[in-house]
Amino acid sequence: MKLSAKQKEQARTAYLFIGFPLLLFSVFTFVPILFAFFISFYDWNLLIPDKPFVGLANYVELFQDKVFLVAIKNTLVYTIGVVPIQTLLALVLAFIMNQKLKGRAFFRLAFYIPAVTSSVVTSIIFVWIYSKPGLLNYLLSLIGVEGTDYLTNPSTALFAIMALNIWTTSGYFMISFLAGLQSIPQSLYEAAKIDGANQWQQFWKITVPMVRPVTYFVVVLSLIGCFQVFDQIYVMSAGGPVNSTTTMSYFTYNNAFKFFRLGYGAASAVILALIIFGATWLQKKYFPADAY
Amino acid sequence: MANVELKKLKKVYGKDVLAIKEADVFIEDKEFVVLVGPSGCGKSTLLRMIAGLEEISGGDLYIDDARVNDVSPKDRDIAMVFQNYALYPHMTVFENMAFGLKLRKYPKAEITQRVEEAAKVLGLTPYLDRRPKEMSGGQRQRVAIGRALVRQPKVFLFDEPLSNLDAKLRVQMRIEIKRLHKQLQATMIYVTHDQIEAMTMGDKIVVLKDGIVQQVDSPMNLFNNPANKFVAGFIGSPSMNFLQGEIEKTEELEFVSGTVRFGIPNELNLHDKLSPYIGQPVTFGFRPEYLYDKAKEKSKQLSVDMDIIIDVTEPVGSEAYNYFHFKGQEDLTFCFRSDSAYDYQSNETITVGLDVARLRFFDVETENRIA
Repeated sequence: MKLSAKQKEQARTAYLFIGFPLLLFSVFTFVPILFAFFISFYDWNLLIPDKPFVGLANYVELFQDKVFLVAIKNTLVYTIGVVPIQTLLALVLAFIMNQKLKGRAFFRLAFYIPAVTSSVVTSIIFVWIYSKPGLLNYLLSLIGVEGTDYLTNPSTALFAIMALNIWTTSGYFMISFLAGLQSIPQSLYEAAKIDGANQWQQFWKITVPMVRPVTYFVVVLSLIGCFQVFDQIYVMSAGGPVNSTTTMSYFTYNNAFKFFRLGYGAASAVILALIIFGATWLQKKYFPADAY
Repeated sequence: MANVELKKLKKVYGKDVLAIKEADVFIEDKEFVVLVGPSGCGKSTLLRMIAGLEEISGGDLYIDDARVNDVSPKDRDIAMVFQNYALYPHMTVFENMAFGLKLRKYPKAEITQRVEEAAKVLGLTPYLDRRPKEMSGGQRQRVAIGRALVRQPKVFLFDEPLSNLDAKLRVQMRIEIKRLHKQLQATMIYVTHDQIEAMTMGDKIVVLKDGIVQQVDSPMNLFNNPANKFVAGFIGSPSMNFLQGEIEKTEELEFVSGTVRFGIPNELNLHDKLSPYIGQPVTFGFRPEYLYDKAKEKSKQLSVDMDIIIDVTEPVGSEAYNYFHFKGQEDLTFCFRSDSAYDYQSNETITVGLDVARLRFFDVETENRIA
């Protein structure tokens, strides 16, 4: 197809417009990804000028590194725990917020605020809530339960951070579900009412299947977010106690920027990327978005 | 099957927005009743009140002599067909139709049997495994009807079910719904804004305007004996012509409006009703089909000669709608229906007469029919 002079000029302008963002993406995203993949085959230490090619040695070492295996386990526990609860909670919250409630705007705002608050700030607040003399233990003491220091106890630390994450992200995903819910025609519920469906049946048989495309989107984002969890761990527990909250992202950070073993860190990042890729692929294959 | 009775049924939105003002309608068992009126007249609200989807603000609603004001929709034993079909997009045609029965815990074999029967009646058998989005508008509407059918409810409610279909399909579905009504012998309540649909389908028509029931009657009675000017103008297409004038008494009663003047023969028994209006303004109504070209029509008793001038003609096949004004009254346009073979031309003057048996008069203030 031959372009006219005007079309050529339009195309030039269009390329110019996408050129700049493309350049930014390339410099700060695509090139680093490729570079990370590249250095994962080298013993790339920031402090040592000699950076020898080591082939798959970094990968072999990773799977012999007990901390890395713990990090994989922690990341999986974290993801499997957070994704379903936060998705279900977001849907239920959206369903409630979609009813004609008094003070609905206030509740929507209240649930959404954690999502727009800096994660460092919420993390610091929760460090206090979870501490031995903190709010949680005070509330528990009112009903006669004596709590622990949740972030320094290896058996509770990871779950405490999971709970925080569920609280901060449910409100964010609630907004997505709310948009999905509002696009369901009211007449479907009316038809269901006449067909004999009660509130619960309307929720399971109409709402849940109708928001399936949103659920897909939420689960994908939430899976990726959970696999990459870093900031709360960095602020609240630094991977401890005894590596009980070390996740793959935190492991990568530690090796690359604390021990300066960039090649080794890059290799663990590649494994993480492969796991995320695999998880989303599985989801796409077995739980497709299925827009009606 | 059941009768439905509306006793002073009232709907108020918020504090003072009156949607339905004391509707009194009795719908007999097996009757096909059409609620008709212009947009915003409250016809859908009334239907939704019967369905239980709108709360009733006042009055009583009876289905089969049981008061159902506070009964939930699922327990009223009704089924409804929605304007936008309201099919569940994530379910197949079979599942859509079976949904209500499943919720009511019917045995599987019976569900299958009922759905298959309904599908056969509606010609949906080959589509039972399809999803709604894979079907045309007409097929979707059939599924919506099927969903109502399998429930075998006491009362069927239809909320403008054909308005999303094209003209040809609408006529087809109209006939099909009528056929279903005959076959099922069920009570059906049908909402439409289309008066042709109302006239062709209803055993009885309820005409609504501004939330007030104007008249409840058979289609032909509405056409021939409208209760007021609104019903007269709403029923019939093209609608009735109205001309404001005065009743004068000479040897007989006469209607006079500018250059238009004709006598009302004594034998029509209209004199008793019109006498109080002598010297008073009245609205005269005549249907486009009851005006005749005197040169062509000899058999009917027609009024005195009147000269009209054709402005525009609209041939619509076998007949034509001719828009005209009376000679000497250019500012008022009326419609006159004729055989299209007469082929009237613009600016042509013809002499017409009114069928005197079809003269209708309305009170100017109350708009109620006088005679």
